[in-house]
Amino acid sequence: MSKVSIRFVAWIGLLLLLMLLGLYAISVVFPPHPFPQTPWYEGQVAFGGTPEVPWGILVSTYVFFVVAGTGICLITSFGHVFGVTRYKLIGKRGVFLAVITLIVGFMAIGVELGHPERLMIYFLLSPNFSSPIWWMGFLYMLYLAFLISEFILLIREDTAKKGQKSIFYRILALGSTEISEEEKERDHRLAHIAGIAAIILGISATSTVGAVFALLKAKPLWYGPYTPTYFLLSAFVSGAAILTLTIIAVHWSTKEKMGSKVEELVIELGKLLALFLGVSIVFITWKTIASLYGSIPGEYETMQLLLRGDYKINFWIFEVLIGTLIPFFILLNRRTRTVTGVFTASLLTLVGMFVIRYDFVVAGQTVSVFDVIKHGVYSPSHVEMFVVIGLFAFYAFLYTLGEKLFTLGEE
Amino acid sequence: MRYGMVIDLKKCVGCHACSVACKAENIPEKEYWWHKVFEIEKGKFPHVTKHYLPRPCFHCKNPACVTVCPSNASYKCEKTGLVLLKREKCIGCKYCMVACPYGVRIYDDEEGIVTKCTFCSQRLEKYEVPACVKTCIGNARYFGDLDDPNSEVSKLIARKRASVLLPEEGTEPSVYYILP
Repeated sequence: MSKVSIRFVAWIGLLLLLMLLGLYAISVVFPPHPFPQTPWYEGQVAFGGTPEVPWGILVSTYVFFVVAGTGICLITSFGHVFGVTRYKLIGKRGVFLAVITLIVGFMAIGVELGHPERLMIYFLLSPNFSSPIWWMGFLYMLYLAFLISEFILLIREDTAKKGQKSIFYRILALGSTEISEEEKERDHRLAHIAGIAAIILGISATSTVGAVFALLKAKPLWYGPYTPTYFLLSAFVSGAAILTLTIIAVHWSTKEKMGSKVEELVIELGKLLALFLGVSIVFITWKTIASLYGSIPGEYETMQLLLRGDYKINFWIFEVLIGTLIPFFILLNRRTRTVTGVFTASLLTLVGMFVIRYDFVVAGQTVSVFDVIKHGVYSPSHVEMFVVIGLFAFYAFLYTLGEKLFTLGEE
Repeated sequence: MRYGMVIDLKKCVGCHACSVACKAENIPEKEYWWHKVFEIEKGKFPHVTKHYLPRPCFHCKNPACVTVCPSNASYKCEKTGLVLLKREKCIGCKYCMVACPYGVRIYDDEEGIVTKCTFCSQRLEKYEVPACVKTCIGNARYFGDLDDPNSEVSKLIARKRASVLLPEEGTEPSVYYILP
C-alpha cells in the first residue's frame, strides 16, 4: 500500500512541477496590458510568432486537444447513445476525458489570445456571424455544456451516494442523496438526449475548427472542403488513441487486473484505431498527390516544404512513420495487437498527431499567395514550449483528480 | 465614397520615404512598420529587371480580414470605404493576419492587438492626403475617390489600365498599380 502511495505522490509531484513551469510561462505573457503584471512580464514578445506566421504551437496544441476531445466523445457514445453495450464500460471515463480535453484545449487558445478577457464580452456583445472563429466558439460552448450535463447525469447515482457526507458531491448530484429507480431511469433518458446533442454539436464544432482554416483563400494548403472532413477523421484517430492510452495507463498504474471484457474492448479500440489510421493514409496520400499534381500556386510550394524542405523530418519521420505507419502495422499484426501493443500504437499515434497539427498550422502559413512576401519562418519559443508542457501536465493532473473524485471505472 | 490609391510603379524609385513617413505619422514609437516596399527582381543576368512594390493596406471593397473578425473589431467604414479597427474590441486572435492575402496586418506584442494602415484617417479628416502620398518624391502616388468617375484616380485607372494585386482572391482592393 505504502509503495503505491509513494508512486502516487511522485506522480503528483512531477505534475505539479511541470504545471509550475507552465504557470511561470503564462505569467510571462499574462495578464495583458493594462493589468498589473509580474516583474518578469514580457508580453507576447516572448512568443515565437512572426508577421508571416502569427499562429504558432499554441494554436496547433489547441487544435490537437479540441479535435481529440470530439473523437473521444464520439467513440464513447457508441455505448450510451448508440446502444453498443460493450462500450458502456468506458462511458463515464470517456465523457470525463472528453470534457477535460476540451477544457485544456480552451486554455491553450486562452494563452495565445492577446486579450482573452475581452473574448467573452465582445463574443456576446459584438458577434460577427460571418466569422468561423465565432461559430467555432459558439458551437464548442454549447457542446461543452451538453457534455458536462451528460457527465453529471451519468455519475449522479455515484455522487448522490457520496453526497450524504460531502456537500461537493451533493451539488454535483443536483441536491440528491439518494436516487430512486425512477430517477435513475429518467437520468438515463436525459443522458441519452444530452449525448445525442453532444454528438451533433461535437461534429459541427470540430468541422467548424476545420472551417476556420478551410475558408481562408489566402492559405492554399488549408483552403477547401478537405480540411473540415479531415479534421473529423483525425478526431476519431486521436480520440481512439487517447481513450485506449488512458484505459491501459489507469490499469497499469493501479496494478488492477484488467477484466477480460475490458481487455477485449481495448483490443477492439485498437482495431478501430487501425481502421481510422488506414483511412487517414488514403486521405493524406491523395491530399499530397493532389497538391503536387495540379501545381496549385502556394499549395505546391507548401507541400514541397513538407516533403523535402524545412518540415521534411516532421513530415516523414513524425507524421508518416511514427504517427501513422508504425502504429498501423503494430495494430494490423495479430501478434503485436496486445494490450502493450495497443498502448504503444496509441502513444505513437498521439505523438504523430501532435506534429501533424503543428505542421498543418505552421507550414500552412509559411507560404502566402502573395509571392512577393518571403516564406515565413517560425519556431516555438521556450515560453510557448513551457506553456504546452504545463498544459499536458495539467491535463494529466485533471484526469488523476477525476479518477480520485469520481468512480470512472468500468461498470 | 470610397477612398482609393493609384501607385505608378514606373515612377517609384524605391527610396522607402513612404514607409518612413507612415511610421513618423502613425507609429513612431513602435518596432514594426505598417507600410512596406518590396523589391522585385525578374529575369536572369544579363536580362534582369528590377522594380519596387510599395504596399500600404489595400482597404479592400470585400476585405477578408473584416469577414473573419469574430468580435467585429475590424470593420469597413461605410462612409469612406476604409478598413479600420476598433482597438478596444480586438481580442488578439490574429485571424485577420492569417486571412489577409497581402500580409498587411501586424501584431502589436505589447498591446496584444492587431494593428494596420488606416490611410492616415486622422489626416483625411483634415482633408489632407495620407503621409505616404504627401511624401512620395517621385509623385508616384495618387489619392482620391474611386466612386467618383471624374476623380484623378478613377481617370488614371481607366486611362493607364491600372490593375490590382491578386484579383483572383476576390478582395477587390482599393489600391491600384500602374505596372512598369
